[in-house]
Amino acid sequence: MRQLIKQCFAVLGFMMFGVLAMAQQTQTVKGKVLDATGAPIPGANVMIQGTTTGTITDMDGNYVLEVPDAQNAVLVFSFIGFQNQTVPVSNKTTINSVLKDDTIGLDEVVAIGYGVVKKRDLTGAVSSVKSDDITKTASSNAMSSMQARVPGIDIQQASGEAGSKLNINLRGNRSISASNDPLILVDGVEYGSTLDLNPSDIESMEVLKDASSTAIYGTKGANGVIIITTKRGKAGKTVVTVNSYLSSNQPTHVPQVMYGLTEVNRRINAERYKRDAILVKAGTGNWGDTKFDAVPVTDVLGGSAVNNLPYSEMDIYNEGSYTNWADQILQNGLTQNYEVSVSGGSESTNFNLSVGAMFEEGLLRNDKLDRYNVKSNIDHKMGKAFKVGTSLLYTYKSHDKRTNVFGQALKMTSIAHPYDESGNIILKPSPTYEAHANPLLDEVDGNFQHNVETPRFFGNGYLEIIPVKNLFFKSMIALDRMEMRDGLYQDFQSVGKLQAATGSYISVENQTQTKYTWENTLNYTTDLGTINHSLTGLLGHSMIQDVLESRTISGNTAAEHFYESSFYDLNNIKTPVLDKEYVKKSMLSYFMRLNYKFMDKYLLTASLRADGSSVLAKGKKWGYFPSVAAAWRVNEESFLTDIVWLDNLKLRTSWGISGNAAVNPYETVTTLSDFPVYYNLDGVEYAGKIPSKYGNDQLTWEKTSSLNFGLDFGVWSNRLSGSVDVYFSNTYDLLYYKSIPASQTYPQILDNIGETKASGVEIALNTLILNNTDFKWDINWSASFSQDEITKLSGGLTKNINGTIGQVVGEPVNIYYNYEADGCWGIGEFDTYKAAWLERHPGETMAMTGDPGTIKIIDANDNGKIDDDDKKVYNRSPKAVVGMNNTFTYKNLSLSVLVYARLGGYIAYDFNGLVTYDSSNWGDVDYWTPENQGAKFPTPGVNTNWSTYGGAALYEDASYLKVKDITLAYNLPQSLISKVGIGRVKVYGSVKNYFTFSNIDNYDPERGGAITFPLAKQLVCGINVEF
Amino acid sequence: MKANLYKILMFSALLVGASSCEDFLEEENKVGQTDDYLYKTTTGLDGLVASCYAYTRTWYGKEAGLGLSEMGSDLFYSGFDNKQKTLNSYGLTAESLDGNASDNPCLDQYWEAYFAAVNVCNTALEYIPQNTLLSDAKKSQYMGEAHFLRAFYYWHMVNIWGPVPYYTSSVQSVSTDATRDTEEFVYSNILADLDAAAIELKESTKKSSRVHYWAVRAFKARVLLYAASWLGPNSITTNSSYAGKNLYEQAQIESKAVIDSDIASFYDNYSDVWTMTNEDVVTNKESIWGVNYSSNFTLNVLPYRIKINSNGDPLDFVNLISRTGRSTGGGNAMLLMFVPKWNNAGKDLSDVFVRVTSLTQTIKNSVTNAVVSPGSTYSRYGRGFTRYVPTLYLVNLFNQVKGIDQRYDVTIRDVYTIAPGLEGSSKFYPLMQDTALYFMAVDGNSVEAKAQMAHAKNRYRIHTLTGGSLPLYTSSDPALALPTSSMPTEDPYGDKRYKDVAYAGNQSFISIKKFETDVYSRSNNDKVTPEIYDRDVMVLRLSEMYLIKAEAELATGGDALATLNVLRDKRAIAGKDNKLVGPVTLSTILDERALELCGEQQRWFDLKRTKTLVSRVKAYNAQASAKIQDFHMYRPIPQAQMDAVTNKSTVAGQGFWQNDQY
Repeated sequence: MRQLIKQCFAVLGFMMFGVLAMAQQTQTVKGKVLDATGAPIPGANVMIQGTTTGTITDMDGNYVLEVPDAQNAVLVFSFIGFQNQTVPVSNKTTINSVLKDDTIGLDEVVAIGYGVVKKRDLTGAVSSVKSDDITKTASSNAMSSMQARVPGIDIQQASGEAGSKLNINLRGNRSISASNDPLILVDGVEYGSTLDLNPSDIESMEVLKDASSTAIYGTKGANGVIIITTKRGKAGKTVVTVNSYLSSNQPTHVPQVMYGLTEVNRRINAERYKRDAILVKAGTGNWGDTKFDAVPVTDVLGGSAVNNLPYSEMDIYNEGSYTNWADQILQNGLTQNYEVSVSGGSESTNFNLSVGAMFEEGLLRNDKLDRYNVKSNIDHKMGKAFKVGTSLLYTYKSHDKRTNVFGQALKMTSIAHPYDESGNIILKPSPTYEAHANPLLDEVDGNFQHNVETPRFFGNGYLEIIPVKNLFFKSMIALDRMEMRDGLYQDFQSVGKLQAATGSYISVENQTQTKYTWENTLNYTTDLGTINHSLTGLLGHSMIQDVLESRTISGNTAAEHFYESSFYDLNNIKTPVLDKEYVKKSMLSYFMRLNYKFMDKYLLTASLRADGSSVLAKGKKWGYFPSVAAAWRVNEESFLTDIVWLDNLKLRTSWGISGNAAVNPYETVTTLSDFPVYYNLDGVEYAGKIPSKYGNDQLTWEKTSSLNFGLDFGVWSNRLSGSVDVYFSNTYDLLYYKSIPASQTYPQILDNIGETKASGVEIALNTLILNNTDFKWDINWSASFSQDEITKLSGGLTKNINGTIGQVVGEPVNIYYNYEADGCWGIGEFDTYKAAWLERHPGETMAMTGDPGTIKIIDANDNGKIDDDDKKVYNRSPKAVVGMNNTFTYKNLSLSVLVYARLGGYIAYDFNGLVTYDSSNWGDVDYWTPENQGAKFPTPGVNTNWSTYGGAALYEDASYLKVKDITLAYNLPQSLISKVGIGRVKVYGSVKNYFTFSNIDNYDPERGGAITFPLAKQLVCGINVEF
Repeated sequence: MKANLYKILMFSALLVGASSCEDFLEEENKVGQTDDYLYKTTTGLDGLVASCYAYTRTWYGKEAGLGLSEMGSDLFYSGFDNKQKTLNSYGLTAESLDGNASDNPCLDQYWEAYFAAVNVCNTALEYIPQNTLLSDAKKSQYMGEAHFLRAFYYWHMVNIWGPVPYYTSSVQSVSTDATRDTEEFVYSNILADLDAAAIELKESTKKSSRVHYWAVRAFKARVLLYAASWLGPNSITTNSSYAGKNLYEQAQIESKAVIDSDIASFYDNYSDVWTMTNEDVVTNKESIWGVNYSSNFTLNVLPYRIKINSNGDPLDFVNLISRTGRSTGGGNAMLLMFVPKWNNAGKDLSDVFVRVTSLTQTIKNSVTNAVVSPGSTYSRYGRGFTRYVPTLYLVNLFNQVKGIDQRYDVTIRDVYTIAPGLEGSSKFYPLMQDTALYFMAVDGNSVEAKAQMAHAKNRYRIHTLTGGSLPLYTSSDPALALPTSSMPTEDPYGDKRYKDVAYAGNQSFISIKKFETDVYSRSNNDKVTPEIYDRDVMVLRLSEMYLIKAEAELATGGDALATLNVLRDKRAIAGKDNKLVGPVTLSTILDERALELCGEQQRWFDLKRTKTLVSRVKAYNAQASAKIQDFHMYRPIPQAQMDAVTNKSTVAGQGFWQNDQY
């Protein structure tokens, strides 16, 4: 990419326009500009110091320049990503220059939309993660390396399932129904958030946060853009690298249900409550009268075997042979990762080839992801004006999946056995709830087979032409073809099918997705004839077409074991159900950008994009997205040049509009139901389809306008450096399913219903605390604070609630809306409450009830009735996300510690809903008894109000602090390895996810409330070798 | 430089020119069909008319529809595992509980379902006339069906919620305002629809599950009776055909016409009404019209709800309505609802008395070692869902006719037997012959009961109505009686065989058996005790016509007694006289309706429309009597609707208001 953009570099300082050197003898100087590996650098600047005269190298790095006063002239060689070099001409006719890499500090190159720019010339808010940090993260998805490292990005892993998706959110929430996922590009082409790349193939990941950076991506930019650049070859020595790690994954923070005597006591306490209730009702006793020991265990546990089980509840009680079902289903997993790459090239051709294999095991048996990668990047120059190249990636994934059996394991009573005495699995082990299938059934060989196979080709080829000096034309065609086969076989004796008793089940889905991108860009750079100016213009166009087709065949079979034929033999399905999908989207875009720099201090960027899309109705298809940004490098000003401790000070500001392309295809036309409904008339089963989706032809994009102020600084030789960004954004034309009175058939329609606003502060700080020869300690800090709010809903609504989620004007975007509970009613407490209420409200009647031990819902408006107005808003978004990355280096040894904290925000903790009243096991919660009236959860004796109001007990503060990663790495001494021809060997070990601190016992709030697949803690050891 | 400029311009032009074909942005919809495409085909229109019927399956034969029409009345207590207990305790709120299946009146889902159903009917009424391929006769038939079904759905709505928005055309554009039309207006339109249907269907008769002429007349009789009793005999003003007319007289005319037609006739044996052999509403002689359930369960699935989740995917109805859901198919669930935990016999009967789960399951006689396959004996009992316990009032009502009226034996199950071949092999009941459980409708402390108890030792288990060791009810006063709910404290035999909470009256009880099935499920998995079956639901039965006629005669001075006694006669056990003697009051008719129609999804509406709901509940249903008030005769408008309207008001009759007190 770097060859696309030209930047002017010249001598800094004051220049007097009127003062010119005397005319001197002119001499032709030529030469070649190379990088450290000997590869030529095309497009490098060659300037005569102190003048505006200069040239740019051609495709082979050659230049020819007429130099006046060849005796005294000094040439300045520069190119982004490299340090400037000055060479006195001294009458020489050939001057070659080898530029040194400059990958740290301000001259670091960062990718921006359709190009790269030096960090010093950035006008927007862009953060970057480089390859060293990326390979540090032992994860199937390289995106996780950004967690805690990039301010403003909130990455959460919600499930410990192998290959599980990451939730990525940049700068808070703007959208409600639409995705808040950022746009992720690999080598310029949209990829998706599950990065199936070898981490060591990635050169850098850039995060574009403010609208001036993202507006160039138009309708896809509103949630931020992450640009991933893969490694390309360099001319010179061929380098072979090997990266490999092993990770042992163990379950951590597994929610605990009631086990053994705890569960027995719950049953006793339930019975006590019921007996007390009878006494109290009859007026012959008080709450708590039926003492614990007055209810013998034989009154609550079954004494004889039922449901054909080989045990009775009393047998298990007497033996103490309870079962911890979660322990039974969880295992430790092992992840193995192997990557080898070869990179090198000649003057005309460079390559980077790599292969990778990864085998990941989740925490359930048969939860396995295997992934194989082949990647090839090749660039070739043809003559001076042409260059071609490709980036090709082929990935094959085979994922053996498990469905969630945690739900089943958690509600299964511990007073049961998984196997009988001969070791045979018991289908329905619960003596109290015959419907509960054994959660281990899916582990019986063959009972549950679910395999998803996804081959994907993702590649592009490009052609670059430099038709005239300073003009670069590039045309790229990319093809992304993904196939997917999702096969599922559930035996009639599997967890999901046993109770339904409809036979075994087979489903196979075949899907193909084909996406073409054609993109053309034109770059022109000029200095407008003077040293003080530098102007770069970009003009581009792109066409994208995306077609998804899928076919699914599914249905029940006879109640037999089809272990062998699994989901392959579709003939076993009795009445196959067919489903299909065809979705086609097209987008046409034009974009332009101007970068202007004056005196290397004042930077200005402006861009405009126009997007046209097939998914919108006629007349609504086009959207326009402008942006402007400016920056001032204050430390370059003369009044600051004397302040030696100040290395960098830059102020940035930007404004822009970007969009969110959240309208799905066919949303603008009313369509009929996907599945027919049948009715038998005249002995014929007629299949009918009903109008089921209202098409709103007024739909348009969501748009976000945002304003960003930034400050970059570096002091004391950059020992302390960092940046602060403040942003304010407004999102309007927000897409959401607007509630329509259900009496009009369509209870929700998609509409551009509202507006949200968000603001926040992001701080990145790099502190090099110690920097001795042997010992180095630096800390990278990242912190972001954000808030968002709904500012308007359509039609004057102040609330748009759908169950317990929805929107309330003036409240955060992402909320729960539900009652608030204050523990449970104590004995006599309700009577006191009611009396006080009646005193406050003379003559009114009270509609609340409050039996002792039942959930106490706060009557927020004190109207004596629990109604909708008593509901409260629970903000789900965190207030702050803070990361701290410590690196200690001592000689060849380095230790890094990554600490991550996410503060604020509520989750609906599903575990708190495991209070079920129907003979299922309960979560091990603190429940009400006459002796424990302060408990949060109600008595097991009666379920009054729980099914209606129990939701109020779900919410928990999700704040947590986590030592995400501790890695100890050792670079083998050069003296040792150079003898055997090895360039570099690094061995490392990490512990990940071992220490998490939160308000919730036995739970990692990162999972967001779900109690399905727990997260793993990992013990990793790895090695990187370079030949 | 000029040459360069040209080159720059040339490349720029290339960029822009490369792609300016507008076709590229055209939307192609290949699989999501649109109405104007599909309904113009005959196949599409056939399916559309069939879809008009599909929503009848949300209510009839489904747990939630049953609850809303039978619970909170004088006939049923909620049993141990009832999933709609708030309907009986009148703890009803406007809250839309969506997928909650543990205690959900499902009013929000019916609100959606019925308006969706009306929209489908309206769509059909708009597209049928446009079709050029169908014969006029067929079009006429389709129009008649759509008119009838729109009336049918609105009849449910107006009885559940009172004033509701009335729509005569399909929804083309939405608004957030809604208007509640008066009950009189809705009834007027229902009657107009039925009259239109009667004209269109003039020639039709009962030969398929389609609506026919006499079904329209029969339903009109019901609608007229409802309007007369609820709104008043001369209440209709909007519909000029009925303005000023006495609706009772009209109801009497309609019901008499249906009775006099040969559309339906009585069976001599009342049991023939309920045998699975006659489950088909077309062939059942007493049936006029009903809801079809196919024996292919996968084709009985309900439409998806139009409501969607946050991903935009349509939601499924809660399983109280969908029963087994889309993946396993749908069906009639009535076979589960009234069944006690007969098989949960704990420590005494478990060795001989279990619910069999497969055709091949066997039980070994522990005395003779004979292997017995009990499926055919047990399958009719079904799974003990313990949803509905008959009230003491209902049990007493049946006991009064025991021995003289066939309806006792066909409706009431008070005995459970074991499979032949297992005699004498029960561990705790070694003398057991055939009977295993017996529910005696007497007081447990009576001499008769005590003698029976003494005899039952080692033979079978006895539950008695009240008192004694295993009482079904807590009191003999119907106003106070509740099903017992805790473990028996008395142990007459001293060996703990009666100690199990499953023997309490909310789990073991006298039950309604007319919905049982005596055949193996015809589903594809051949389960002995299925969760759904293909019994059609009789919505309009001949006997109801007599009850309508009698009630109309009562109001207009006709001979109600004679009419009732025609029905009584047909139901009498051969040789017995079960004739009623006068005078006939509304109570007589409601009692007779209970005997004939209990569990058939009309009771709550009958009490409501006759304004006896509160008094009857207070007299006969102690589970519901504490809280019930007059305002409960309307159900709450779902909160989701209230939240979505922008013309909400707190004044009845203005804007969109919530029913009083909700």
